[in-house]
Amino acid sequence: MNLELGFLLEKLNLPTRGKLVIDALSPLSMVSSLPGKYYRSQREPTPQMLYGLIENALGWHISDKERKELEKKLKKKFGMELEKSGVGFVSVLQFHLRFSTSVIPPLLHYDDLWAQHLKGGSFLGGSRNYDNQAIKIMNAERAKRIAIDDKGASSKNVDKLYNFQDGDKVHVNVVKPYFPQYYVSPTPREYVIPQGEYIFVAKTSENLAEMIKDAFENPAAPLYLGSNDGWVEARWENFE
Amino acid sequence: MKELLQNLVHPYSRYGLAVALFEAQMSLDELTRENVSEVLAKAIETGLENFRLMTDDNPQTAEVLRFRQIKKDDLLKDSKLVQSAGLANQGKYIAPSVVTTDGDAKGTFENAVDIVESLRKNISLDKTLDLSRSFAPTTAKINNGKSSQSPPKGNLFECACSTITTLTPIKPASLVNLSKKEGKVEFRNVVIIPDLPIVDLMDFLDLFQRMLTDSLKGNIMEVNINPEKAERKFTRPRIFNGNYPFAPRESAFGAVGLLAAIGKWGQRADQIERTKRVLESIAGNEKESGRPLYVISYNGIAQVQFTHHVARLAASGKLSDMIGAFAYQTRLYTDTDGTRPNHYSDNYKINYKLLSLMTGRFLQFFNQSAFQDFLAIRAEYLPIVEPLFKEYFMETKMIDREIVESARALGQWLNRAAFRVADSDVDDKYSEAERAKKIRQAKAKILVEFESAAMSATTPQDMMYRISTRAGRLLQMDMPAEATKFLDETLIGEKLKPKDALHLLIAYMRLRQNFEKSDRSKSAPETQIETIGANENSNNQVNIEDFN
Repeated sequence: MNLELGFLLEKLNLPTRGKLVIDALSPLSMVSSLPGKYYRSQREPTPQMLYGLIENALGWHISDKERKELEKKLKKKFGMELEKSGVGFVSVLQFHLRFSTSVIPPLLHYDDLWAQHLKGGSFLGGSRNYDNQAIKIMNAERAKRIAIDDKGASSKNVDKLYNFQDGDKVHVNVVKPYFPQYYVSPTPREYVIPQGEYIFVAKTSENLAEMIKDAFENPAAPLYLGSNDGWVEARWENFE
Repeated sequence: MKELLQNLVHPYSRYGLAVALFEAQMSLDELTRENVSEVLAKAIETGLENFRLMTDDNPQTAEVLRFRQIKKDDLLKDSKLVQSAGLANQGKYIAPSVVTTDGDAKGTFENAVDIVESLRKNISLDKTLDLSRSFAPTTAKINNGKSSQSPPKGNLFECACSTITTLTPIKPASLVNLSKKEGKVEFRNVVIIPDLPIVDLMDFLDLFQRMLTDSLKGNIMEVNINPEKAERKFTRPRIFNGNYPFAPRESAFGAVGLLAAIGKWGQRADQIERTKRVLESIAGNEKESGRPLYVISYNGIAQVQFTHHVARLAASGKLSDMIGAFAYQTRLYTDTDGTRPNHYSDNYKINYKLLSLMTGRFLQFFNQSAFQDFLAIRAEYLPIVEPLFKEYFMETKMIDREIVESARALGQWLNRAAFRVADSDVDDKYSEAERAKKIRQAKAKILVEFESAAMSATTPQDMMYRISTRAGRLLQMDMPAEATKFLDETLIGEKLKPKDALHLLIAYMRLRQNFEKSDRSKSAPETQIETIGANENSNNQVNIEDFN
């Protein structure tokens, strides 16, 4: 699909002021720092998260390669480095929409277990679902009749899927094709429940304000902040 | 500088920055790109000076072992002092304030040394580094869009601040038994980090540093060796029970114990205004809600949040005594042997742990469901905890003072009457100890019958009827006049909801009297409850069996 983004390279003129109002529909977990073992949520979304929300609503789902090209063009035009988020997301909106003050509602915090998906060697214990062809060998492994590990001495023979004997050591690559790519590791994560609306005051161009307003009324994709089950409703109001 | 600070959002790294500023006696505005690297490097080095503890005394000959920190230069010269097998057996323990394990001590130490080197070489603070669990315990390897797992990245500034937090001795810390893995107990250093803005953190650090200094003036870097024991080996000094004064030994209390200790220290050290300010910044006041406390160890992180009720109780200094009463002296109804609660007996161990857990949770949430869970474990409460009930019923549930006082009169009367009846029922042919046990059992039986009757009532009227008939039958006495207000209000139901009435009755019924004098006992010793003051000494005794 074609997106008309040429206006992003025009001269910067941000006369319109308005506010972005966000109403959370479920608990939010907005993590931007020190992740991995415990995910601590921000009290409010970072500007990068808000840019991501708006680009989502606008339907600007631009691939990495094209995004990098846009980044180069913007940097050349305006002579400034673009900020990126902790995971490397670079918003192309960041020069044309600037956030200033914000209002944070009172929050409830709690910790919960989050089903973190990981890809790696521990998939054996972390997947509830696997192909039915692996049932026989997995039952034997659970009953401790055979051992599945990644040691060099273990058998890599693919026949071992069905023709195994008690006491066998099978290499993990034999069963790997029958497991999903990602396994689940429940990880503690902090969630916040806002007891009210977030309000972010911003200034932008008239054109972009219209686009954003319309986008929120009819978003191109579900809107979320932080983790992708943190659904929100958002609207843009111009200050007259 | 501004962008670096803006992006330092995590409370863990923020604490490290606050420590660096505090130690350099600087304010946040004075920090510039020119001076920040040195400020951070110095703070990390202070932490490395407090990495491991050792003693020059020999447990075979000495009765007191005095511990000191191993110097950073000694650690740098001999890597075996940083991490190697058998260090704990030689009495060389990782300091309780270092968030690492015996297995990753080397990682923590070496990463810290590398970061100091980078800072001194004036490498840009924006440079990205791998975050490691050894100095940023909230991190772990994740995929992050790649097909294999790798550690997440942070910039040098964030890594340095996190390292400071991991190493600094100026934070509440203790060694805690975290879990039993296949029968083996697992001890970990557990620390508490408040999530406050930098200005409030500096206040907290100032307060905690004073508490730490006071604590070190005492004997927390020492441990006594029992000369009569056959095996005399190295044992951890008292600091592992908590590096701050009045630390509760029962780990289930954890974070609330810290707040209570702050309050009590403030009273003792005449620093009431300062402690009140810090407690309010953490637990909030009527207008503002509090901020979470993060309880952090190498194993995991959890957050705890308190209400301003706890801040009030802590500031008065009483909370510490109450926690002491719950941890050491509260007795389960079923635990009738001996003169002290049997915390380590297999029959009662789990329920005592549950009681501590539920009490800690009630102190944290201070709401009806937490109070109900707290009441679920039947135990006899000490009179010193009464302000807790008053705070809950009058300030949280907003029940009139007269109703609460009236419920108190009824509950206390029931408790007293149950004792009298039990005392008169039990024969005096038994020995002193045997008789005391039988009286406890008989009294518990009576009180439990009242509780069960009240809990199974279907309406407030039913509850009142059951209580009064049982009073007549079991105790052969009429209820006191002071109880009338409570009974009337329960029946009317306007000012007093049925659940609150039930909770009032049970809570006050379980509240013990100060003196229980047996009329029929031969030598008539009064079973007086020991004062809490005695516990301050037992607080500092390390139970040697714990660390076998």
